Amino acid sequence: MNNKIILLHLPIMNYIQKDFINEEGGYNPSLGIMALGTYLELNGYEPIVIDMCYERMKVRELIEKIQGIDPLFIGISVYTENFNQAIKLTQQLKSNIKGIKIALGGPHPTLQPMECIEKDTVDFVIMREGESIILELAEAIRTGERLIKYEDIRGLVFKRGGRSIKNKYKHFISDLDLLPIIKRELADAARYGGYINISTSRGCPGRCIYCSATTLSGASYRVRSEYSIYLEMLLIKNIWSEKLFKIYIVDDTFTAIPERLNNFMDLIERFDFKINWQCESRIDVMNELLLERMHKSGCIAVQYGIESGSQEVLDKLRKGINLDRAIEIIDATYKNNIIPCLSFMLGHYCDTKETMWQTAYLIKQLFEKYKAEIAVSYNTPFPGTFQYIKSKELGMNILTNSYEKYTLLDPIVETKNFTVDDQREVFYFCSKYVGHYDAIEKQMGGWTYVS
Amino acid sequence: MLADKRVVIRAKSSLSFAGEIKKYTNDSKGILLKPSERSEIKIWFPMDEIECIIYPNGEVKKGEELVW
Repeated sequence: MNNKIILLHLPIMNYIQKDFINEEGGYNPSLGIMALGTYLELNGYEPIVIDMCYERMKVRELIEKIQGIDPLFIGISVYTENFNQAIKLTQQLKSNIKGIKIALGGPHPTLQPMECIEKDTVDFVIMREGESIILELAEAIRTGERLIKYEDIRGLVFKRGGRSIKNKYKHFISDLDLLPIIKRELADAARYGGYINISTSRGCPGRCIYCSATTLSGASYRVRSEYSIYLEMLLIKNIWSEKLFKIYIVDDTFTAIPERLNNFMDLIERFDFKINWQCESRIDVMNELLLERMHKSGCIAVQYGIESGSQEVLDKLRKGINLDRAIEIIDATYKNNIIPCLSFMLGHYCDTKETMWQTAYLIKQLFEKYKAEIAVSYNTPFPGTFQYIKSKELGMNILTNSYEKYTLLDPIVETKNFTVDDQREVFYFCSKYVGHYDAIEKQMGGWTYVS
Repeated sequence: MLADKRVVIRAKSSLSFAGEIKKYTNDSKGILLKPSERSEIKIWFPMDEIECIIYPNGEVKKGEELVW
């Protein structure tokens, strides 16, 4: 039987796509898909990663390509906003490729596994971390379940005799250092632009109620060691030296454990490693001394989720940050020559028109004073998350079941305190401060490739 | 084509691996697994880290049964 497994990443609307790729901007192929491909390859399979965000091939071309490969099965990574698109694709694949098996994984199948498996054209759903589950599934399909039965694969949802069966969740991987370093050549990562994403942890220590991280990754926060991170960066730099502008650490809170961060920077200093890097952090785990050291070790930008300009709203969201302290940290970030990248949301359950305008004026202030990179989105309660399940209790009226609108760029919530138009009005005001992707280049005085 | 004698090793870290067992050693108490025929990589599993082994016929061994 063929050992080839196709892994598909479908387009999503809120992503910067191929047409916008340049050295600094652009986007990276899905780390999740490449992680699964790497794991399958380590274990003897031949993964074929197809990034439909980049390829833009027609469905007919995709079908012909898959027919030529004759894979063991197809895995598709699915977000809420492209769920319907994914299902349409599975229908076309099933009707054109006899006997093909299809597995869905990623955020939406993890949040809504039964909704996914109940579609006629979906054979399997993989919940949460997929490495071991997709490998065991491959072994089950390859051996006709002689080696392992679907019932015995934790984290798998499948069909048997016309019934949908949801197995127990698989425990989270306890030691992330045991995972192989992602093989980015699987998606030809070099063609995407001047930065490379890496992930150094799973889960988030925060418990903000608007976020899906805990639902997706569980309450456990797990990290890779500083040695593992350093080795991956070293490998990336050796492979992409001329093309690499920066490494983007995509963790929700890279700086959550100061000891690990300091140990990581010790390695950078000890080996005089020259690399530009950017990370995401939280106000409550950052301080002036760390920022000074981060700048010296190559950090060029830090993203903070501020989310609101109202302290009362932040407290109700369990965000755990103080706005006065946030401004101090943003100021210290700027003064250490690190670009502050700040994200905000409009339409929190406890927002009012007044608090949303407080957010807008804070954005204006921070942009004008620090030339911060600003991102603004609408609060979007994704199905399966706390906000979605508790929407009535929170006083939120979710206006649409059309998943295509769950892009973060369409307001889909109203409360008694604000309407969709109220949010759009504030968003429009904020938009002039949003998306200044050239900020890093300008503030660094031109391109500074690492060599 | 992958070999019929592949096993699945479930580790206590919650990771699974698949491949051919290349070496059992009682002295060092562990297993050497060769996961891919296209690579010379082998993975060493200390016995204490193995949750269970699933053999090609579906037989599952764990705990005391792993002593040979």
